[in-house]
Amino acid sequence: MLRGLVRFLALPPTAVRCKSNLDYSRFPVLQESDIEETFMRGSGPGGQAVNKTSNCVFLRHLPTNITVKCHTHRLASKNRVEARKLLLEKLDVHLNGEHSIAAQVKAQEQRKSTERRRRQEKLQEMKKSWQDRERTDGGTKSTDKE
Amino acid sequence: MLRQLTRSMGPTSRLLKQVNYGTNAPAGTHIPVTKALEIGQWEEKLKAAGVEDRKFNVKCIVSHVLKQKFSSVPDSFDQLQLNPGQLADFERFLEARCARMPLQHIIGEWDFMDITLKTSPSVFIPRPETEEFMRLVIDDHKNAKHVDLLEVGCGSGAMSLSMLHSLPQVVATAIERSKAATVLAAENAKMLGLLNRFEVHNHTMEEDKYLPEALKDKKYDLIISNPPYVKTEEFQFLHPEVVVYENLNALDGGSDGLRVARLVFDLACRHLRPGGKLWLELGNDHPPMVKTIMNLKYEGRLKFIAGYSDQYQRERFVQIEKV
Ligand SMILES: C[S@@+](CC[C@H](N)C(=O)[O-])C[C@H]1O[C@@H](n2cnc3c(N)ncnc32)[C@H](O)[C@@H]1O
Repeated sequence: MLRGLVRFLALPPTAVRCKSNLDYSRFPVLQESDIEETFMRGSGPGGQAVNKTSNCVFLRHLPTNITVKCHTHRLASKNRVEARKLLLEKLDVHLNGEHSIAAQVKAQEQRKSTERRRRQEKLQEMKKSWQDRERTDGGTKSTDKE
Repeated sequence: MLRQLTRSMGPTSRLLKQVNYGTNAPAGTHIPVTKALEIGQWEEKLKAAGVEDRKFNVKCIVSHVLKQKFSSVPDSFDQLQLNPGQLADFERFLEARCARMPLQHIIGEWDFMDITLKTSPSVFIPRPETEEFMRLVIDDHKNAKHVDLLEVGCGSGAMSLSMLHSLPQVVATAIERSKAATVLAAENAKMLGLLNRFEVHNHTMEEDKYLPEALKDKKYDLIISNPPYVKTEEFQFLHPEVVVYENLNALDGGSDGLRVARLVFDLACRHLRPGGKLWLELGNDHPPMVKTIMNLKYEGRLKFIAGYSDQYQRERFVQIEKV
């Protein structure tokens, strides 16, 4: 049943993809058959007879042996979905290195901050030269008055 | 129950009041959660009471006491502080948990798929397997134009309300024998803004009185139920949370666990439209039994379509079609 979910997870919604201009062409697809999932139910009949609240989910990606653990949410069902997202991200980094989405995002952030710094420096420079001009102008003016 | 526990809760809170936290902290100041846990020896007490998943239990209670979303509470409580009121609640709830009160009753709410439901003493707490069951049912109806749904024994409303929440084309009617559950289901529907597509009747399904008078001529496209299915012989395995805090009418399925399910079969014969579906959540050995019952007793009326497994790989769900 989660298979449907996973297929859907393989790619983020188109809206996100367009806006972010990240390159998803290498982003992996998670095969449910490659995953070994462990989450607790314990022995005994299950269902109505027990009231267990265990929320923790472990996944192992068999081909790469990458593992993730997720207990972010109260519900195991939510953690199962979240764990698959985490596994996909790890798998992406493992397979695609500098082309992975995480690396792209990091590079973009870096570009943005360099750009920001550059703009700030330019602004600072303009301000400084303007101030310099003002001072010289003022100086001239006052000299004029004398 | 909680009130009694508060009254009977003694030594630790008295102890806490006498202890001076920090070197010169004035009375009534905040104390770190880690310290409260240590001083109250809660880890040991929970363990002695047979509570499993203790970290998770404590985190749920911390998040409830601090009124923070569970997912926003860090795993380490080093930075979290309790004021005196919060500390009193914290200890009261942990004490209740040691008495095996279900976490869901202590917190007063629990999640089910994408919705959060209020819980109420004695009303059956939705189980994780039922989420998987509902995922199958919802998936089977996501492309239908309109669905008239009937649920038998809705408890807190979890099944019907999660379906209404995900599919706008569904209109649901539920029956429920417990007054407390009937009230809770209506409250949950109201809280989720689903009352315009949900009605619940306080009615006990019985032979020849399957539905209340007001619904006696109604037909449905889909009937769902998680009827009591615990076999008498399985009662010895019930957890304390279940035996002490849940109504046995919600669990007791008679000697083979199918006593109430059989009534649902007969109800389905009368109230399903041709081609309509009956989906049931049942116990471990039930699907093959149901298949046999369908073939022997309901030929020409109901047809067994398939059995399905829950997320723990136990075959527990069945789909039946009205001929
Ligand atoms: C196992 S609980 C399931 C509750 C809810 N559907 C859920 O999955 O969380 C069974 C429910 O059926 C109700 N019930 C049992 N026998 C019934 C009957 N004959 N007529 C109506 N409701 C009944 C019980 O009161 C209980 O709320």
